[in-house]
Amino acid sequence: MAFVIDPEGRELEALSKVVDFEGLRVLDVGCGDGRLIWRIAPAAKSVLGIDIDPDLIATARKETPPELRDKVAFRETGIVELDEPPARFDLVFFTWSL
Amino acid sequence: MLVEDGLLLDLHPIPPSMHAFSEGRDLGVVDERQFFTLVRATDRELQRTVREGLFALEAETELDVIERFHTPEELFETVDEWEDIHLSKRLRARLVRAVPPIDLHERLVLRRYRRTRARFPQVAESHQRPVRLRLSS
Repeated sequence: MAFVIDPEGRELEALSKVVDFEGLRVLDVGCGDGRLIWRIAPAAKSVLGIDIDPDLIATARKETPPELRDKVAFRETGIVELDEPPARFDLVFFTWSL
Repeated sequence: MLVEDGLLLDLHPIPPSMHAFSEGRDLGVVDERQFFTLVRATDRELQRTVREGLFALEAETELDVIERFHTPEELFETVDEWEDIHLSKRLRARLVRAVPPIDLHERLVLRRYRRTRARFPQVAESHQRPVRLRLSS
């Protein structure tokens, strides 16, 4: 059994007070295994999660809930190497990323 | 990449350093001194973009989160993979004897910035008043 981050759901509680993800195109930088993406994706228009760790990206892809697969994508890359057009995202989320 | 008026959310750990808990007992502090040096350096760069008027801080809140481990070995394996974060010998010894689950308590800050249309700080001044939010504990 893998360790659990934030079993009390404090992150999601804080996020919901700071931003409304409804209809937004989101880039999640340092998405890890996608645990936060599953929470914000239902409201968002689309979410692209990126992480430099191939194992975490593989886990995120594997565990993507079927109902979110049309709006969620993952890529193994860092933010510097990410090649996306201007005005592609409404919100960029740095999750524990330095 | 980000639209004009787009949002930037930044969630990262802040001092004080993590403490390990088992059965409600504080087992000791995790050494994050090196890690927080990196955090401060990164934060300085972000604050520079605010001073230059590229982004404006709109909201900020702090929160405490738990990372829960089911065995001491799981915790050691995970922490040993983290860069610039270390467990002292004394804390390791306490953790070996600890009753699972073992929780690491960590303080985070969540900040919401908005990309400003203005390229100069004086034009973006109206955006410069952040709102501090209080979370229930």
